[in-house]
Amino acid sequence: MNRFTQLFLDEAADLLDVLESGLLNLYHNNTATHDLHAIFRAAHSIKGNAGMTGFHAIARFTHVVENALDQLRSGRQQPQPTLLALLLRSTDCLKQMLQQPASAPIPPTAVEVQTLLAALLDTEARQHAISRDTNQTTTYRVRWTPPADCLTRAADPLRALAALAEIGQLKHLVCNTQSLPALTAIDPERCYLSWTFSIETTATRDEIIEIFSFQALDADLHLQSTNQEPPQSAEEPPSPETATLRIPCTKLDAIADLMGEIVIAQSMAIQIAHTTADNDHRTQSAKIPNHLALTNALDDLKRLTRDMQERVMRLRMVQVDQVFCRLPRLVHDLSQQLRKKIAIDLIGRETEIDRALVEKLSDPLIHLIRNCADHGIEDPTERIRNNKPDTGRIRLQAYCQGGHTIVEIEDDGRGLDNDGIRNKALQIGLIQPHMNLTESQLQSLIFHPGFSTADHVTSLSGRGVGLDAVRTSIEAVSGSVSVFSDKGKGTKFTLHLPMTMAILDGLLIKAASSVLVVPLASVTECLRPLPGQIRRIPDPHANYSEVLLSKDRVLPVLRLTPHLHLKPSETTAMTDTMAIIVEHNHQRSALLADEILGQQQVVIKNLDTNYRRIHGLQGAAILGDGRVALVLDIAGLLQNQQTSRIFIPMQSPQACPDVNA
Amino acid sequence: MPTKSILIVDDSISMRKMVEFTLQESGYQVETSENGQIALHKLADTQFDLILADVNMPIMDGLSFVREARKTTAYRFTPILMLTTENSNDKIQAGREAGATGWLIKPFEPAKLLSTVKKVLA
Repeated sequence: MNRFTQLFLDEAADLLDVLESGLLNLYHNNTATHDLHAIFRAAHSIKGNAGMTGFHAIARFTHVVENALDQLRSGRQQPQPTLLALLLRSTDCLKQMLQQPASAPIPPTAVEVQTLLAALLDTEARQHAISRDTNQTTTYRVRWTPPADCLTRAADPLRALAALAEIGQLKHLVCNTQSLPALTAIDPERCYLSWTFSIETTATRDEIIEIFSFQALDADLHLQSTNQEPPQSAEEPPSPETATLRIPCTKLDAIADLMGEIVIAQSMAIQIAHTTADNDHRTQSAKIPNHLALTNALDDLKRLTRDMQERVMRLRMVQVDQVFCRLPRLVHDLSQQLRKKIAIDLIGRETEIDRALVEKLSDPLIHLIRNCADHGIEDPTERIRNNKPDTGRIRLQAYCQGGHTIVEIEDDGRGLDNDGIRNKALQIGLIQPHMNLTESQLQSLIFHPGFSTADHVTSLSGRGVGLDAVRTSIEAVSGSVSVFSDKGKGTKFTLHLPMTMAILDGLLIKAASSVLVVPLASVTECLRPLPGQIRRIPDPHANYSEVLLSKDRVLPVLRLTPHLHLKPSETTAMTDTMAIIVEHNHQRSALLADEILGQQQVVIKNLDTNYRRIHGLQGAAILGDGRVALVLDIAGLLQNQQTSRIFIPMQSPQACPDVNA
Repeated sequence: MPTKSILIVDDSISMRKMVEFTLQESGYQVETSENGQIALHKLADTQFDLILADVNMPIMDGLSFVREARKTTAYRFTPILMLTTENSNDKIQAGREAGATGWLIKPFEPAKLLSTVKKVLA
């Protein structure tokens, strides 16, 4: 496959997404002329690119699609459901054709769609597919910051604006003086101003840009056509005019890897500087000022590296919309198949997630949405009976919180049936009758393998693959999933995902003579337990469990030694133990460590590729002194603890014997 | 509005004539020089509204001319457009650092010349 073919395939997939989401918008709101132009352009681009790269079948097929879209665009065809359904089917055909070799003929289903489409179109219109208005006025919204040096070379911003006023009508001209420094600090030959305005003109985009570019004033010039109705809110799809660059992922990964190496090298240098400074201090050497300078320089370097590293990591980030944008189609199809009315709201589409997560997120999301549509949302008649609007809503929201990206999938359906879950769990032996579970503990049982309360299996979900598949794939990317449901009102699934998968703020601890890294995002507090704070309590499954009593809380104690098969350290007395309270998914545990060594940003190296996957560890990292430290997987450790004895019985502190006693 | 005066600095006589003719036709007052050094002398006597300068010229090239012109108080904020055959980023950056206002890439049509001149004299 040559370079251009791959480029075509990549781009065609993107364009198909535009086509599909545009058609769906049209389906639900047939006034969106804005979409019509976008989807026409998408089809047109696919046709053109296909022709150039030798995908002649695709080019011929898309030509018919393009004709239909042109007639819709020009108003010669109404967006009636039959036509839109055919067009949607044609995007499916295109997807299928993109999987085939370039020379493959048009598949039978596509031939059928093509014939049906052609029959709908009037022959006369087919003759002139593309017509373009030439004397059309366009309104551009412009954001412009002239380069600071422009005044010293007589490239006057005001003259550029005056020249602009000659080719069109300027409106809403606002000069932004925010960057203007205090009067005493002003360099009168620097330009500190920027402008925003609209221009209504018959000139083309290039003609407008030319006014700025020939004077090199266009470095920070942003033009946005607002001819079709302007975006009503921030929730509009991202503007296609944002300039983007396609970079092979391998190149980006190589840079990220290198960046990681730089971070390691730098922390080594800092460590050396600090140790030498300490030694000198002890010997009262006169070299201290030098070391101070060195330490300061290294601190600067650290700040810069961190900044750089964050930027490099940002390069790996893509908008979550890459996953979200495919879901309206899914919901559309589901609602047709299930004969339910379902609407989907996408919120926070511009939230950024690690590129590596995009592929991993797609399947779980599809699974959860199917689940919502199939089990959550009721039939229209049932909904009306329950005083709900007949259209069910699925709300998908992404946002950032702390070091995590959160994705919520919420429906307003019938909610989880707690009694049903309890019965099923008892039936398959997951819980015992005497166990007293909280509502959230009960609901979280639905993630257990083989658990499904749906009394019937439909073609959509419940095909033997339960929610445990969702949990497994989310946990595979160091994320977690939780559920909250209010019976009769709806269900909300929350996915906690790491923001980036390669770099981590870690707390360095020493436990059982090993240096370990605890992800800082999971740490809620560190304390030194007093004698008597750690108690043993009887446990039905093991001989005893340990708990930590702290501030009226009883926290299960997690000792790393047995979990990770580490050799227990003999020297550390119990009184020197540190307790690190870690939290995951509203579940807390006290992790016992011999010592806290400090905080450090570490680059996670994958264990799977270098060794093998170990439960409870998410990878390894190279420390400043060159040693390798293992990075704990808190979610995995807590889950381990939970499965070994599912729930710690709540007992009063008095009932717990003192460990040290 | 008083007539705007423009100085053309170019070693090629045909270029000087072409530009001069086009601008005069449109009512501008035009003077010409064949290199940077002569042009600098002219600047001392007359206040032009715009200077069009070639980049490659004998004796004093266009960039040195711009640098010198920018040193005089009278010409610090006068637009100076470079007439050049090269539009590489390096050349443009060099011109920008010297103090050039903008570029006109040769060859250009008379209409293009007029519209660009109009833009900087707007």
